[in-house]
Amino acid sequence: MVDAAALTLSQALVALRSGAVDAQGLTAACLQTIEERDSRINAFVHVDAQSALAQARRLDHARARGAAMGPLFGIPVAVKDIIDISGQPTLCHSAVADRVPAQKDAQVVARLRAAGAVIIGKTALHEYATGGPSFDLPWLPARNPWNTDHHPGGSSSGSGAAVAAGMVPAALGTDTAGSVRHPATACGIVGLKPTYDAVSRDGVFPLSWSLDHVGPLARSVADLARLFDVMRAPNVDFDLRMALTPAPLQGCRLGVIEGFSEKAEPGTIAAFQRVLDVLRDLGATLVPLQMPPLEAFTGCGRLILQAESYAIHRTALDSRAADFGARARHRLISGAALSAADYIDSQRLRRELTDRTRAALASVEAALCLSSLVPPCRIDDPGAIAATYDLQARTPFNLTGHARACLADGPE
Amino acid sequence: MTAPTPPRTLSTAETAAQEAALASARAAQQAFVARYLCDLPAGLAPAFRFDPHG
Repeated sequence: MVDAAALTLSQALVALRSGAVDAQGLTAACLQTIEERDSRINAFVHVDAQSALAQARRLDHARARGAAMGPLFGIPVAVKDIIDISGQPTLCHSAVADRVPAQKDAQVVARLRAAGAVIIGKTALHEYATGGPSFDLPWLPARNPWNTDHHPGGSSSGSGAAVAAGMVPAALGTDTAGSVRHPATACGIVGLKPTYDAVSRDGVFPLSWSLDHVGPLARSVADLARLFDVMRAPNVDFDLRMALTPAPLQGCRLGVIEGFSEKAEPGTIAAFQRVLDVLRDLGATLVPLQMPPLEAFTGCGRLILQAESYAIHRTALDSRAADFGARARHRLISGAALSAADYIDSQRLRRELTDRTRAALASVEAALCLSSLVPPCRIDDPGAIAATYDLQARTPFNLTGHARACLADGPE
Repeated sequence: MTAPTPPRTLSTAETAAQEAALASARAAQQAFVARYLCDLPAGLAPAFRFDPHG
């Protein structure tokens, strides 16, 4: 049996195409790894083994009949349980959610299926993608596979943990204030928040319409490129071949947003400096970028998120408040105190921040900044959990809509 | 037919915790509004749709 934990998505595609493994074998290997590891990690809230094996069997039979292999042929993918899968309820990790099964796949899931992916199950999240890891919900929170006493990041916690633990080579998450990139950072994998609107949110339960993004998590940047190529909306240009071709960094101008590191721990700053040193050694020209203060972005994002998420949940907060977990309830209710003018002024500030970000980025080909300013905290430390969601530099790009990938720096 | 179970209401302690959370959030919101939102230029229109590349 193939060691699924050892294969990235790109490696698995090579194995599948060479015949070293078939879709059923790879799916069975992932299911076995989930069986062995998930009782300690809680990455999944639902694994549909029968359906996954049936999907894999159909793919193998189609291949045997000579059908063309899709770009994600046979790749098992886990889906955050806020994204619709046909025939399954979308429970959003909440007792409040509607138990009626979704009538069709979310558009992004349909795209993955059409490309040959095997949808293997639903992953844990923070309740309705907000709040934090909670122990007063119908399911336990996902834990960090590197140290199960620690927070795996969120809100796409289960997706990050499942990929990092080798249960699946790829997973889907959503990102409203960093919820793909936080688990990718905390779990040492890679995650992509694409440009706003580049991936359809159709069939995805919203947290904040103007900040929500759908993105992939995987174990290599090439894997992210392959996933994004399938997930993107038809009108979004993307050259996969170019993305997979290594390009020299000589002469490449890369912006560095050092201002976002002000509150970072020394070890985190040192790791960022090591990355910058490597890029400089490879020939990149590093250009300091002047940006508005991080707190302007995070505060602006928070007000917009609070207002929009309260609008989504206020009926349930009025009628079923006690069915929410405390963390999500406290987060969601905070929008009740905002005025219409606060919300509109936040959107006005957002325009200014977006314009200034666009101007700063105009002179460079890409820009770098930290994702988390601190390492993952303990999952049972409420104070640290509450603080960790502000010690990050992810929200700016939910506000501006720019694409942002989160890459892991390896341990020393 | 049995009547549906009425939803559970928040306990006194849960209500107090929620009010404290709301008060804390409001204080943070007011501080942000005072610092960043009070002096926006009148000509600056809100952005509700986003194209980061202009």
